[in-house]
Amino acid sequence: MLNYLFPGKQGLSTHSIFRENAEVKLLFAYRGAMNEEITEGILGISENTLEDHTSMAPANRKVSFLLVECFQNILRHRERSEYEPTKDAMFSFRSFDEAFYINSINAVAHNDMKKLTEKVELVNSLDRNELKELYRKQLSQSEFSERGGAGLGLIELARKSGQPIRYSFNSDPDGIVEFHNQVSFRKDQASEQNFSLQASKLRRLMEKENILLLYKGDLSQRSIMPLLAMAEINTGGQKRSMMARKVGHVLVEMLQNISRHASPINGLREGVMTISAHDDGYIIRTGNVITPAQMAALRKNLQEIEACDHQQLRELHREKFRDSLNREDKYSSGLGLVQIARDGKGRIDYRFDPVHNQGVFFSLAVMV
Amino acid sequence: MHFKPTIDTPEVRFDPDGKLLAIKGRSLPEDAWTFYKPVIEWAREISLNGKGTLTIELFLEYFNSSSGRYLLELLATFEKKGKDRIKVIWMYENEDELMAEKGEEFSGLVDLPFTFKPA
Repeated sequence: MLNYLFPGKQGLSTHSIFRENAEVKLLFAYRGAMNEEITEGILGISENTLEDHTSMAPANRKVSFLLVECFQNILRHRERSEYEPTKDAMFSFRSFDEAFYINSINAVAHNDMKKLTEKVELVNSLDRNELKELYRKQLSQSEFSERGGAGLGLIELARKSGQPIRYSFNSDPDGIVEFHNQVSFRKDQASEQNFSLQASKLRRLMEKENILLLYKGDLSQRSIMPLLAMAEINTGGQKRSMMARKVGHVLVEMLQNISRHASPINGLREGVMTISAHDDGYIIRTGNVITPAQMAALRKNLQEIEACDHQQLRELHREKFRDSLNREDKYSSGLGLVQIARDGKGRIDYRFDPVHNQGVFFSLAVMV
Repeated sequence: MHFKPTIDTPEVRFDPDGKLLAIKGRSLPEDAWTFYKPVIEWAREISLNGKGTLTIELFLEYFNSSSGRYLLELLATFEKKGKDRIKVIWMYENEDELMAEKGEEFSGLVDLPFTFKPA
């Protein structure tokens, strides 16, 4: 029987993501549908997090610009790529130590490597004023490349980021050339990190486990809504399907469960979430830190759900739903987990792992 | 009473002439109590005497579990006012089995006449 907590057998779990990115305030990695609609979700997520870090707040607009430009770079390449986009591209960003990093990976044609290298090397070699000059020159000459990107995008990335663009090419065994690049934005005193290797490793794991969307960070309502929008797009295609609705129902419940109950870490209700595609449906996994006392109550609740077959689950839900009318606690319905199991395929997988000095890491996984 | 819809709360509209209370859209607020409290309080206070039948039209795309709790409380409040004066129309998008199923669960928990209407 497939364990929803470890569906890909690659060891990439919400707990491992949490552990390995302990210092990362926000991590978003995406290899799902690449289209304009996603841009809005990406902005939503980044803005919410940036607002929470006051030191980064003045940079909001610049970071938003960089995110859009990097994501649209992938879209532009995809339009003319002969490769399956979801197989090749990954867009990710993270906020770490007062700096913001955008790592993109996408397939490029072998013939483009030289031209791309020259362009990046050129913008990396120029200072602020030279970049400005080059931008003006390019604009007036309208030297648009065949791709419609004009190279202007690259110049603007370098100008707004104020940092060199890190890049590399990797050829995979199938002969596909991948272009990796990192664009960063940081306050002066923060030292720049190179996340290219991490991004590359993460992408490989996500591909093996067919994870479309991965998120670690604050899960207040403001972050949940853009994640919901992206999940809908990825599970419903152009038209919102009933599958997308089901995923939406379960996802909201799982994420709000975190925003209500997670132990705050540095004032934020942090959690990890992944959505992966499988033959029988989508697996949604979440993880967050709770207190040992919460664990005891949760375990009892989960064991009750575990003992139910489909019909008993319906009855349990009905019973808890009716009882919610008499509940004194106005802010929790006591229904969340039963509803998650019922709206999904009826089974919840879960585990509790101790977290040093913080409590317990609670992992939850459901198939829809 | 008219609450405009937001990204995570539904439109709530009471039309006294049409004798219609309509709740439509997404109901996913983190704090459902604060959102539904004025609606439930309003329901407790209004008098249905001599006003014919009130139609409650519910057409929800999503609702979270805490919204479900207060929607049930709202219906239970009306149930106390007399089932003869109330009818509930539960609307859902065609083929949205999950929402149809959720409507059936509501109808089993309150003694009010339900009509199910795929849109």
